[in-house]
Parts: sequence; structure tokens; C-alpha cells
Amino acid sequence: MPRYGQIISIKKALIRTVMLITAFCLILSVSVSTYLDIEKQRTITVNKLTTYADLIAFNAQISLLFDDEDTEETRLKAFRAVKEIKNIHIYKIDDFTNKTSFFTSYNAPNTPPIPAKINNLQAPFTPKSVGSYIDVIRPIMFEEIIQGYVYIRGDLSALNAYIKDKLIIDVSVAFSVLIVVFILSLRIQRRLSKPIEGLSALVQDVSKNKSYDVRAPQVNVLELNQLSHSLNVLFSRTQAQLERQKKDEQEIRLLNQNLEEKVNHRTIALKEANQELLNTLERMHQYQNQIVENEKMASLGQMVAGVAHEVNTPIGLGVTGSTLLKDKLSEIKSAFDNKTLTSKQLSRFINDGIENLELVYRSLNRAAELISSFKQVAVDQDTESNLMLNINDLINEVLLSMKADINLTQHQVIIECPESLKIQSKAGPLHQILQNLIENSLIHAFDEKTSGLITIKVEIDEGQCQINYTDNGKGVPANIRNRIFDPFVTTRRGEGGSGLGMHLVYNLVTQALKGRISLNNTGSTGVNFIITFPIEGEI
Amino acid sequence: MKSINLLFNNSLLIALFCSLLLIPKNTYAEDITKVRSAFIFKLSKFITFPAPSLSNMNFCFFDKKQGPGKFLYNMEGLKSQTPPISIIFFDDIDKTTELNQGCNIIYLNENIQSKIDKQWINKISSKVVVIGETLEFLDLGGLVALIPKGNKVRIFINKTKLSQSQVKIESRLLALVKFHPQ
Repeated sequence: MPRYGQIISIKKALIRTVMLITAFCLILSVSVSTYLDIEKQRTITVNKLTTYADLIAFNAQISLLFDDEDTEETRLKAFRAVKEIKNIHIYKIDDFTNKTSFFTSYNAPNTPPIPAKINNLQAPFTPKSVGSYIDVIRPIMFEEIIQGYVYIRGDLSALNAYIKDKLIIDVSVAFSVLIVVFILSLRIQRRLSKPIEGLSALVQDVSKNKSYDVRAPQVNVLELNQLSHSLNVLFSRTQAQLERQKKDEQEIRLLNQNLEEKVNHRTIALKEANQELLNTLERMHQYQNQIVENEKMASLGQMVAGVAHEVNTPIGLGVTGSTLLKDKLSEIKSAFDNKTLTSKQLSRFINDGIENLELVYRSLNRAAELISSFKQVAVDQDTESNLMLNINDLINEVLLSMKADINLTQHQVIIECPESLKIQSKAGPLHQILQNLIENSLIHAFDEKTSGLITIKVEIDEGQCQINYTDNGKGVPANIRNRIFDPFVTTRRGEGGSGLGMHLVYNLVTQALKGRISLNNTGSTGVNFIITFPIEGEI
Repeated sequence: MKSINLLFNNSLLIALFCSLLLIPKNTYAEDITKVRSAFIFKLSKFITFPAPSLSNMNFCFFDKKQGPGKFLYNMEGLKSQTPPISIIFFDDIDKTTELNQGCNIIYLNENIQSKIDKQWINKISSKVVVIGETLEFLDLGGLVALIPKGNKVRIFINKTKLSQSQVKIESRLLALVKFHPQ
């Protein structure tokens, strides 16, 4: 039988299947019927012999009782007509010794006598086959006492001959049936396969020559006729479809020509528009860079204003102290020139001079410190190298530089950062980032509040510095939250907002600090920016 | 109960045959007597007597001192057969009326046979089986004769008398017997 997936022709499959099924059924039926028939014949033979034995036993009762073996021997000769019986023995049980002894016997013509079976005369009296014979032993009963035994040797040669004939006939019949089935299956196979082959050849021809105008002929098998009809329908539809397709192709070809012309026109127009867009984009980039530069300048200006404001106080104090000292010095010089200088006056001048000089010194020292710190911020951010800086001081310096703006409000800035924490990073970008964030909070977050709260929390974790910037303002509107870091995104367009502050912050974090920034969604309860950037070292 | 009776009946048969086998050869006459006794007993099992039959199976003898009568009389077990067997002795052969009324089987040895004639036998009822010891007894009109042949006893039956008799002898037994006259 072909395995699953193996290709086999219908012819072979049909013949094989029919022949196998027929052979199997025949073998099964012939085997079963032969076996049952043989068993039946054997049972009939055994029953027949048993009946003869019982009959002989009944008749032998009186012979045994009256000790007349001659009569019994004569009677047994009557069984000459029974061909199945070859030998009969009758045994008598001795009344006194209870021993079994031979009484009389019969041997069929041309059958040699057989030895006495005295030792085999035991219950159960089941017939036993011995070669081509069967031995049947039955007891001779009289008034329920065993008087003796009948032994019959039956001939099974007739049964064996019957079995042989039966087998030959059955096998011959089975073989004949197989031949008939084979011839019939061949005819059926031809009847089926011929139209299939015709249809197959037709389909191959159509497939090869694309000649869909041919039609399959009618065949005398219903299913194949339906297939033939379906193929004809398919061919006619395909033919119609091909004609429609040809027509459509012509139309499409025309349309394509028109379309190509249109496309050419449109392409030219598109190229012109594209060029115009490129020019516009170039101008936009120029504007963007200009605006970014302006923003930087504005940021720088604000920082400079803050610096000027901060430096102005100690400088003013220094000027005041030095001016006062100059006045005191003019007075003491005048008194000295007029020789009216008293020791008390000199002593007071010295004390005042020391105080004024200390004031001037402190003011100038403070100014120097401020300038030094602003200098750190003012260095070029692109080329700035990492420095070990105190992050807490840096935040305070940013707040200091924005003190003027912060002091105008009642907003509060809380710094949660270890005072002694130093990190290896760039001060300028950090300064500008924090300044922009605080400035955004001051401008945008608290317009309706009189006192806001800004929290700057700094943490170090696994070589990363995380700045958590939070305010409790009105938050970022939902419509711009996803593009807060895009350029020119502002809620105050036309009111002085450029929309570049957060874009600048994003660029500084990602490019200058090589970090990342994200805006947590806090709804309308303020903003929460998480800035994370790598640090080369910490103390 | 039936099985006990059967067992006892057959044990009697066995005892009879055993006694026959135990007899020495020099006592040939005794052997023949015992074989005849056993044959009389077994014959009764294959004979059907006409109704109304007696409640007992009565074996009648004329010689109490010897022969089958004595032997069977000494067999106490015979009385417990089904039907019970009774051994009855008559000393006068002329009591034919009593014989007809009280006997199923009448056994006549050679001595008694010499005292009877055809008329006596004709007086005996056809319901009774009369058994003798010689072929002459059959010639006189007797029904059955137990005649020794070699060391065996053979049964001879008067066919004419059998056809007139009211008793029925089983065909199996008839297949075994010899008829006289032929």
C-alpha cells in the first residue's frame, strides 16, 4: 500500500484496494466457513460413532449378563456396513475381581486387529483422535452399574478426504472470485480512468495553448460528467474573463498614457513646489538658529543682568566705603595741614578708616567671589570640560543669579541636596538647565498663585546623577505635553514666549550632559522633570 | 431409596456370580446349578408378566434339598428385590391351581420333569413361565429350558409355547436364546 503522501495513480489504487479488500474478505469467509464446516463434520462423525457405541453398549448388556460372546460377535458383524467403524472391542468387568477382561471384538474387512485397550478404559469417556483414527469408549451399564466397556476405533480418512476436497473447492472458488473481481475492477478502472485521462489531457491542452474555447465532452460517469460540465463552465467564464481583461488592459493602457502625461506634469509641478519647500525649510532653519541664538543671548542677558545686580551691591558698598574713607581722609588731611589735628580726631579717623577698609574689602571680596562663580557658568558649553563641582553650591549660584526675579514673588525654592556632594560634570549646561526650568516655573506655573513651591532634589545612583525638579504650579497643558521638548512649543506665543526654553534644556541634557530628560504626567498639579545624566565621579 | 435397592439388587447379582466363580471345577454339577440359579434370577428381569401380576415375584420349586431352589432360597437378599422375590416350595405337582395362583416362574429339575406330561403342562397358566432342564421338557410343551453346553448354560425357548404365552420376553433376550424346535 502506498504511504501517505506518496503519489499513486487511481488505476493502481482502485485495483489494489478492490483486490485487497476482496482477498481479505474471501480469506476470512473461506477460513471461517471451512473451519466451522470441518468442526461440524468432525462433530457429526464423533456423534455418529458415539451413538454406535451407545447402541452396541445397550445390546451388549444382555450378552455380558448371560456370558454369550458368540451372539455378541455375530451381532457386531452387522457393523460391516458402517464404513467409519474399523475395530470394535467389548470388555467385561469381572464380578468377583472387578478386573476388566476382553469379551469379544470385531474388525472391519482388510483391517488388522488392534491391541486390547484395557488400560485406556477410564472416565471421562471423551473421544480421542489418534492420527487418522478416532477412539470412542463408552461404558456398558445395566441397572446403573458398569458391566463392561465398548471401544470403537473410527476411521477419519473420509473426514480428512472431505476436508481436503473442501479446502480445494474453497481455494478454487476464492481464486476464481479473485480473478473475476480483478477483471471487473479492471473494467471499472478503465471506465473511470479513461474519461479522467481525457479530461486531464484537455486541461493540459488548455493550460498549454490557452485555448479556452475548447469544451470537455460528456462522459458516462455521473461525477465525471459533472466535473466535465464544471470545467466547461470554468473555460467559458475564463474565456469571458480573458476577453474582459483584454478590453480592460486596452483601457488601462490608454489611461496609463494619460496618467503618465499627468504624472509628468504633476512631477514637474511637485519638483518646483519641493524646491520652494526646501528653500522655505532652509530659511526656517536659519530662523530657528537665529531664534535659538537670540534665546541664548536673552538667557545670557538675563544672566548678565542678574550678575550685574548681584555685583552691584558689593561694588556700591565698596564705592560708598571708599568714598567715605576719601572724605575722612580729606578731613584729616585738612586738619593736619591746618595743624588742628587732635589725637582724638586721628584715633576716630583710624577707627573709621579700618571699618571703611573692611567694608570695602568685604564688598570687593564678595564681588570677586560672584564674578568667579559667574565665570564658571560663562565658559563655552560646547568645549567645556568636566569639572569637580559642588552641586549644592551650583544650585545656590543659579538661585543667586535669579535672586532678583525670585525676590519679586513670594515663591519658595527648596533644595534637597547634600551640601558636600561633589560631582564630575559640566557646570555651564547644568546652570543653564536649572535657570531655564526655574524661569519657566516663574513665568508659566504660578501666574495665578502668589506663593508657589519649587523643589529641586538631587540623588546619585550607580554612576548617574538624578535631578528631580518639581513645582506645584498649574502643570503642562495636555495638548503640548507630548511635544514639550519640541522647538517653538509655547503657551505664550505673542506674549514674549519663544517656545525654545525646553528645547534648549533638552539639547543641553542630551548633548552637553549626554543624559536624558522626561516629564512625568502629574496632571494639573504642577510639573515633574526627571533629569538623569552620567557623572564621572563623586565625592 | 431406589438407588439403595438397585445397589442391593446388583450386589446380589455380584454375589451370585462370585459364588459361581469360587466353585471348584470338580463340583461341575454345583456350578451348573448356580449358573441356572443366576439365569433364573436374571431371566425374571427381562420378562414382563401380564396384569394383574402378583405383588411379589414368586419363584416356585419342588426340590428343597438341592438344585436352584435351595440355592436361591439361601439368598436372603432376593426377598428385598423390587418387586420382592419369594421362593416358594411345593411338594405336590398336582397342586396346579395353587401353582397358577401363586407362582410367576416354576422351575422343574430333571427328576420332576420325569413325573409330568403334556396334560400337566397344559394345566399351567399361560401367565406363568415354566422352566425345565432338557429339550424333552420343551417337547412336552415347556416354555424355557436351561441346558448346559460345555462349561456354559444356554437358554432354549419353545417358540410355539411362547406365542401362546401371555408373558412377554424382551427381544434383546430373544436375540440371545435358541428356539426349540427350530
